[in-house]
Amino acid sequence: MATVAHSYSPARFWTVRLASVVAVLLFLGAIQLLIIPKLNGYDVRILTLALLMATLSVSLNIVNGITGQFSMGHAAFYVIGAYASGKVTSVMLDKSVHMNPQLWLLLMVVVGAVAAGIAGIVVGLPSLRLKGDYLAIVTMGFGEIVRIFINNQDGGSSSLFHLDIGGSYQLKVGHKITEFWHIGLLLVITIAISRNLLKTIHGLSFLSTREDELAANAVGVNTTMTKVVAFVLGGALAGAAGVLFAHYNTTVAPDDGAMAQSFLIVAMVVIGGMGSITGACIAGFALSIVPEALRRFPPIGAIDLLAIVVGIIAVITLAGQLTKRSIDQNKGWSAFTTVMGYLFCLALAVAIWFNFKSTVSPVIKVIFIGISLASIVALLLTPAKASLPRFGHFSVLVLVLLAIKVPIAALLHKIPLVENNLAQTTYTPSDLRWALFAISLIVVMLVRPQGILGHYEWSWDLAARLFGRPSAGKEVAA
Amino acid sequence: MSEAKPPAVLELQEATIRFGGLVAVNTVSFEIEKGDLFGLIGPNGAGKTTCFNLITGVYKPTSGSIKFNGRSISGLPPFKIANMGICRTFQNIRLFQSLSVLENVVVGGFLRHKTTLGSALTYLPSAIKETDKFKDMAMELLRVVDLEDVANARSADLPYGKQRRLEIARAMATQPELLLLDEPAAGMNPQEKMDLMETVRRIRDEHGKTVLLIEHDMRFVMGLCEKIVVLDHGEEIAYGPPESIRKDPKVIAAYLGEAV
Repeated sequence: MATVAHSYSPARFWTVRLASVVAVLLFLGAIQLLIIPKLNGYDVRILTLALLMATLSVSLNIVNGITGQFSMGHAAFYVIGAYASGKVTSVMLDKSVHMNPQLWLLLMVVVGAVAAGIAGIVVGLPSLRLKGDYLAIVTMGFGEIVRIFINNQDGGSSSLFHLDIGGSYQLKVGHKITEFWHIGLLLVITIAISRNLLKTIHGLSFLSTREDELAANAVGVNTTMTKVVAFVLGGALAGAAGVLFAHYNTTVAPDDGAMAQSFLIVAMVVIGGMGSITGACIAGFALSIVPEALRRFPPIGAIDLLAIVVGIIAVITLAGQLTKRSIDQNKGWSAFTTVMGYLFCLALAVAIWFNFKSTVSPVIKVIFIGISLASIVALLLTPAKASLPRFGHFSVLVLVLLAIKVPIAALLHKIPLVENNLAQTTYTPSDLRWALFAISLIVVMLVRPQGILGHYEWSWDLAARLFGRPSAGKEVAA
Repeated sequence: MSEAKPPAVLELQEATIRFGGLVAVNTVSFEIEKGDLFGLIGPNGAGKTTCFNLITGVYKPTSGSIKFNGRSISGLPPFKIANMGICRTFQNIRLFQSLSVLENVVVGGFLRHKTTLGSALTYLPSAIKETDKFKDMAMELLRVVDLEDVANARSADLPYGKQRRLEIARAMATQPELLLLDEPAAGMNPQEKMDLMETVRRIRDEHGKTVLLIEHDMRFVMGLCEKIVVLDHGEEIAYGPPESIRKDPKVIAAYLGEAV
């Protein structure tokens, strides 16, 4: 028998609310005062921009994931917020207005969020009639219109009202006010707003619009209004992120709102899992850190890269054949893969040790160690050890790949056409990030079309279930 | 019609809709009084669902008027009509598939919400209390349609018959005065149909709703409804209690395809 659990008790409510606000501020303050000064400028910049991207991804999730309106112009809201506030700051702060920078930043956040929110209404209105692909094209067009408009606003004859916001050069804001904790706070607020929405009945009206617009309308949900509100909310939060970016970077360029940027944010939401706040946040953070982490790897030759691609195709074909011949069900094979799983966990542990000793930037170090430790814990300590043989299987495939890569590369070197044209070409791994995104997007779509987290959210309940304690009241009836 | 009589719950006056050259519903008129169990039948393609779509605002009538409690509702958007107290179920089930059974019903209650979006976004006590209240109400309704044991299941995972009952519960959650059921018994076995008849009767007797339903199963309609309108090719061919409908030669001709 299922019952509705009531989450509200008046006495505790305000205590918990106050405590959580204080805890968030203390946490961000501690990072700002204790950890940030110890990092070098490069690391701080990576971390800050990663948090900004996570904010954008979570705010887009309100439109794409929760309300189901596929928007591909999210970076436009970001630059609108950045340009609106940046222009005001560059014209007024310290010239006609003398104000505490923190208060000024707060004021600018409001300005940027309102500007982006108004833009949200402009895009939201066509969405009254458009769905799916058509809406995606319209929002994409909106993003391009904004970028090209800004490109031409240099105060010259092609500008509207002779407004000078730098045109195809940059807008110089000239004040670096944003600190790491501002962006952290905005991310927390964005996550809190999304989560609060989903916890109340208002969130259900957004979700129902995503699920079935006609039915939602028939039970009295004003779907038009809901869609516009989603665009305004997502747009305003992205605009606020843009404001913080403008006052962090001190310059804003039209290409900060390029289509590539919008695609990247969409990729984050899709990979993280449409509708999952946790997924959007993690994917946003990871997809902005990974290209930076790739920089530590040495350049890779084009022929080696080609050999790896050919090797992957060979290995995947091989793996398909193995499964077809049902070697997977073979006891000896599964024992072997289990042992390989243990061995690979050991290898990960060794990698953690070397990473710990190495001199790479602490941000990447912490993230690498965190992910590796989490994998080891998930593989070895959770009661469902079924993933261990699969991990072993995967590791065997990786070993096979590494083994056959060498002869394939040697073979490719022998082909004159390839040797003459590609032998001298090398790529830095971070240049390959788009290929990497594309591949990870393809893999995620093939293996888990609902995104890595699907509709799941992080909760202690989920963690408890991961570690084998069945949670109460979740039985699904047949 | 006498002056003292209160207006009918639903009144169609020569409602017509044309799609290009096709007249889908042609000058259909009927009145539904408060507390009626009203049936709308007819062969496939007779315009029954189009009639529902006219009443709930999915389509705007080309001519004629539709009045709900004396107020014209033709041309209003569907969510406004739902707010006034008309709610429907769908012939091809349209649940919010990835939401839970309970959440599906809670969405139905959304139009009675009083808290603002702002209080929801900041998760204020008023919004939490209201959400809890709606969940309680939804749980009550799940008990009415006997689905409380699957409240936390994903609605797409339910078997067909339960999905139909869930749609009724979701429509009931809007607290409508008039409930429109589009083929509620389709795909059900005889036992489920008997249970459904009981449920629909209870919805009328205990919850005081007026019910208009489309159904193909004659035993179901004749056993349940007190007044029936028969449509064929968009035209109204008969109107009356089940006994007279059963004997009406036009109705027999429409169903069996014989000349009268």
